[in-house]
Amino acid sequence: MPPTGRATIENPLVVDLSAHPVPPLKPLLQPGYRPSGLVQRRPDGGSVARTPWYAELAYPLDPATDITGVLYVLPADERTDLLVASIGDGFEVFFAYLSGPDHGDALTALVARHWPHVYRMLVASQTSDLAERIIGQVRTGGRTQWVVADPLRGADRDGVSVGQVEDLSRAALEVLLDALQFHLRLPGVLTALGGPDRVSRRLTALAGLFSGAADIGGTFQGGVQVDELYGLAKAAVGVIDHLRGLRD
Amino acid sequence: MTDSLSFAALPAVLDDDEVPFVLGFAPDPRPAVEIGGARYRRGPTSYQVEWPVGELWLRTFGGMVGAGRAGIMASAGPILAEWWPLLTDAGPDPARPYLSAGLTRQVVEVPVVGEPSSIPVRVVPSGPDQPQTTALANCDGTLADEVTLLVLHVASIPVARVALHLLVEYRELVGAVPDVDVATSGGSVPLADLLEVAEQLATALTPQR
Repeated sequence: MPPTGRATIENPLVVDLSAHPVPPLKPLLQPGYRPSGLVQRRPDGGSVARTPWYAELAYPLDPATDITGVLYVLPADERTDLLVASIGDGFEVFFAYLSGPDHGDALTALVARHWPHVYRMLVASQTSDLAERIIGQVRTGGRTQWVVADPLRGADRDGVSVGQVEDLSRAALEVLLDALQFHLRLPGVLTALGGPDRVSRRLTALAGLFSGAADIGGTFQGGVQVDELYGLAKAAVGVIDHLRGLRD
Repeated sequence: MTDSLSFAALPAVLDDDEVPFVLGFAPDPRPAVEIGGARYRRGPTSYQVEWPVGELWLRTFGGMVGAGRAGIMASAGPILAEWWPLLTDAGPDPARPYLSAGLTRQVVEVPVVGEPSSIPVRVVPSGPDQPQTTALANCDGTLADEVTLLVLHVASIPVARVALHLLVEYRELVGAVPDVDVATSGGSVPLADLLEVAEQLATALTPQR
């Protein structure tokens, strides 16, 4: 069996734009969207906004709630662009556990076993030779944001289809919700963190999270549409602050 | 304070390659003379005009811009440098009149506060030799000519206003302001704060008609 410890995922790809005055990426779901860059409207109600560093793609998710999906195309290297969906810092705490020395090996092994799609994206992000979907980071100014991204090569660099946008958006939301609920959803996570009998301050804080995270819902189901996921993702945002408390 | 405006009489404390950013957040401690409400200092072939605005400063600089032509300029800094190629591709846009003036090379007529006249100001995009985007007003004459300096004195606030408006249009362009600090004479300020101040000053300096 191949190794599945934290060493297999701990160095994700970083696209570093911090040397330039680059507008920060907007998280995938945007209420009251305001474009960054020179805007070209599309017939479907969406738009493409160009900056010197990336193209910002916007498409209306739900006109009734003024929610816009926002993705990016930015260069990764000379022959590869990335189609990027930002999940902000929603992955940060989960990744800190995965890559941390205390529980990282055990948790990463659990992710490899139970969430192979997430594990694959993390492993695929360890190489500069990008060939499949990754979970990585984009740095702009003083910010580091987590992204889910698809490499675009050859003719794929000339345009992005709605299907690609929807598929990546959904995958990014799945990753976000998985990450925010890992303490609830990842089988075996409590045991890996030391077991319910070892009520450390950290686990106490985690227990406090569980009730807050319950508002997210039991988990989202396969087949949920992108627009339906918004409500789940929105409810999850408040949980991030609780998760940050674990580091204190 | 003095009533006459003589280039030779200004304190010679500048380098000619010094390009001040239009907004100053701290006073320049170097010697200056006050003329007509502004502070003047010079280099070998250039000079600066500095207007106090509350606790801030509007900074412009002047010099010869061609044979027999003197000019006064204000710098919007290098923040637009990487945007000009895209702006050029996109062409002029009525929503961005000052940036568009930089593309078309047409002058912007800037009203003078308290006067019925206006000053024609050009927007000069950044280029390989000059990373700053500048606003420029010029006239016939030389720096040795007091009348020329008086004309440029009057024009200095309009060019500063255009530089401020360029920053306002930049903020609209980027939508989300980059999370960076900008070095200033007084240390550094977040770019978002600098752009907010620029918008407030641009509005305050625009004559109501």
